[in-house]
Amino acid sequence: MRLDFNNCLSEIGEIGFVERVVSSLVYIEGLPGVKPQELVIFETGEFGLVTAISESSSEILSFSHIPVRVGSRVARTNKLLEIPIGGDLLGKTISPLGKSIDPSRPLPPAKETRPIDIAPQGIGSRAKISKACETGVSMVDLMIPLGKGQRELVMGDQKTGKSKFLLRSLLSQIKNGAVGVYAVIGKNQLAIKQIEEELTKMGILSNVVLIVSSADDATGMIYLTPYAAMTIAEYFRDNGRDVLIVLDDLSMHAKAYREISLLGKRFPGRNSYPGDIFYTHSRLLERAGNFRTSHGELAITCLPVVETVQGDLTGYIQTNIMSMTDGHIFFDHDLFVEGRRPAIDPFLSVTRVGRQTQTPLQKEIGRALISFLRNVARMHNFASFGAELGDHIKRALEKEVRVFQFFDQTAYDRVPQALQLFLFGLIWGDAWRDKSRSELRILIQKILFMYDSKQEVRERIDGHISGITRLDDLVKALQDINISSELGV
Amino acid sequence: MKEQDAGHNEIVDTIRTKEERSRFLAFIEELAGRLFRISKEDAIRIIQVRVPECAVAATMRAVTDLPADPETVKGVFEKLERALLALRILRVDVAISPTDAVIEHMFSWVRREVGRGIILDVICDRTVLGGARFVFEGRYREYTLAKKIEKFFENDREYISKKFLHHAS
Repeated sequence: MRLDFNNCLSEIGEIGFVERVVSSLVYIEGLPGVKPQELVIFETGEFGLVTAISESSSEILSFSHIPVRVGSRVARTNKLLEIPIGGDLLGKTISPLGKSIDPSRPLPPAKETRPIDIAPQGIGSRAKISKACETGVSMVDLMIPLGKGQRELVMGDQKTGKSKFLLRSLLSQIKNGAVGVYAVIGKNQLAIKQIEEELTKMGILSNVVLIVSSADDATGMIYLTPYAAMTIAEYFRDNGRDVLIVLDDLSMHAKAYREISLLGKRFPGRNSYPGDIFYTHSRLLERAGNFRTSHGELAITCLPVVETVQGDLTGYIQTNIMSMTDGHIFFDHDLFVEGRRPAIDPFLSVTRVGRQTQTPLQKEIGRALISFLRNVARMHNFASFGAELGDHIKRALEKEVRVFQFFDQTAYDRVPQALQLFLFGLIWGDAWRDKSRSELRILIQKILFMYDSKQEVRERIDGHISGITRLDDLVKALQDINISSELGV
Repeated sequence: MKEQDAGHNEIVDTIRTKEERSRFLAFIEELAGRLFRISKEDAIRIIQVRVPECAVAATMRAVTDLPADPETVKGVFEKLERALLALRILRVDVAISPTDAVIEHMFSWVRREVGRGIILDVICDRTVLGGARFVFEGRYREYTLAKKIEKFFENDREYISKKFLHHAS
C-alpha cells in the first residue's frame, strides 16, 4: 500500500480528527482500530507515531516541525515505523525517516525497509568479543583498548575533543574495512555541516551514513535519530560488514524524550526524566554487540556520547549509560586546557572487555603505562614542594614528557597499531632519552609519514616488532636502531 | 419522574443535526442561568427564539410540566444536557447545501435504518461532486463521484491514453 493519505484512508476506512495540539504531541479523536506504535499520516502528508491510546483519544508524536492544525484529518497506515535501507545510503546525509536532507540530491527508492524499534537479539546469537577495535589513537589503543562489538561511552564537557576522537576512530575502522554510521542528535546546523566536512576531508564520507536531526527539528525526529541509526547499522551487519556507530549525543536525546514525556503528562522521576529513561537507552545500546551471522562473526561497535557539566560524572544520564555500556572514556576539561590532545584521563576511563582482545605485549604495555603514570602523578606532588629532586625522579619526569609527546595527536589523525608499538618501544627505552619535546614531535611525525607513504618502511617497522611478546624484548630490539638509516628519516 | 423521562426522550428525538444540538445546548445554558428569575411568558419567548423549530413543541410541553422545586429543575436540565451530549454524530459530506427537507429525509432514513441516538453533521463540500462521504465514530466510507472518477482514470489509464492517442493520430 502506497503511503499516501488518501490511499490509506480508502484502504483502511478509518479517520481521525485532530482535537488538541501540545507542541509535538497531537491528540486525535477517531481511528477506532489504531494500535500502539503504529504509523499514522496527516492530510498534509506528514507522519506521526502513536504513543498512547485512551478511551476518547489517541496521542500521536508528530514528526513535523510545522505545527499540526486542529481539525485536520489523520489516517492509519496499519504499519509500524520503518526506515528505508540499502547500500545507497553510504555517503548520504539523511533524516531519521530515511529522506535525504538535501532536496537537490534525493535518494533512489529503497528496495527494503526495516522497523526502527526492535527488540535486541538474544544471547544465542552473540559471540565473545575477541577482535580489537583499533581507534588509531595511541592512548586509547594501549591503555583503554576497545574490542569490536564493545559499547564504550565517550563523555566529557563540551569542547574537550570528543568529536575529534570519534572521527579518528571512524577513520581507523573504515580503513580496516568497516562501515561508519554517525548519528547527530539535536545539534545545530553548523555542527552538522562541520562533521560532514571533516568526514569529506578525511576521505571517508563515502563509507559513512550520516543520520541527522538538528536542534530546530521536531522533538519526535530528535527522539528517533539513534534508533534509525542503529537500524541502518544492523542492515550493514546483516550484509557482512563490521560497523562502528557513533551516537552524538545521548544527553540531548534524553532531554528530547523528557520533553515528550512531560508534555504527555507522564509522571516525572529524578531530574524530571520519565521513569523509563533507562529502558529508552538500554534497548538501543543492547542492539550493538558481537554477533554470529550467516557471514561469520560481525560486530556493531557503539560509541555513545554523553556531555557532562563541569566534569560531573555522577549525573543521572551519565551514570545510567555508564552502567549499560562496557566502559567509558572520560575527556577532562582541565587536561584539554593544559594542551593535552586527546584530553583523556586514563585514570577515570575504564574498559571492561577491550583487554581480552589485546596481545600479551599490548597488555603488558597497558599495565606498565598505567602504573608508571600513577607513580609519576605522585611524584608531581613532591616536585611541587620545590625540593631538589633525585635523579630517578628527574628521569621519570623526563620519561613522562616523552610518553605524553607520544600520546599527543594534535597534528595527525591515525597511528596504526604496529607503529604504536614501534614508537612506544623507542619512547620507553633510552633510544630517545636525549631528545627535546620538539625534536620528538618532528621525529614521530616523520616516522608516521614514512610509514603511511612507503611500503618498505612499513615492512621494516612491522618486521622489527613481529614476534615480540614482552616489553623488555621490544625495548631491547629497538635500543640500538638507527632511525635515519633504517627508515630514511 | 417517568413523565420527565418521556419529555427528555421526546426532545432528544426531535434533534436531527449537530447544529440543532448546539443551539439547544446554548438554550439550556441560558435558561438554567435565568431560572426562576423570568416569567413563563419570557421563557416561552426564549424557547421560540432559541430552540430549533423541530424541537419547539416538545420543549414547550416539557417546560410546562416542570416542577416548582429548583433543585429538581436543575437536575432535569443536567440530565437533558447529558442525553444530548451522548448523541453520536454521523458526519455526511455532500456536494449541495442541504435544505430542511433534505435533512429531514436523511434523518428519517438514518432513524429507520440505523436506529435512535444518532444525529447528522451535514457539510457542504463541492469537491465531492456527487454522492457522499460518511464518517461515523472514526470509520470512514466514501461513495462520491469524485472518487469514482479518480479510480476510473487510475485503473484505465492505459486504455484512456491509447484512446486519446488513437484519436489524435
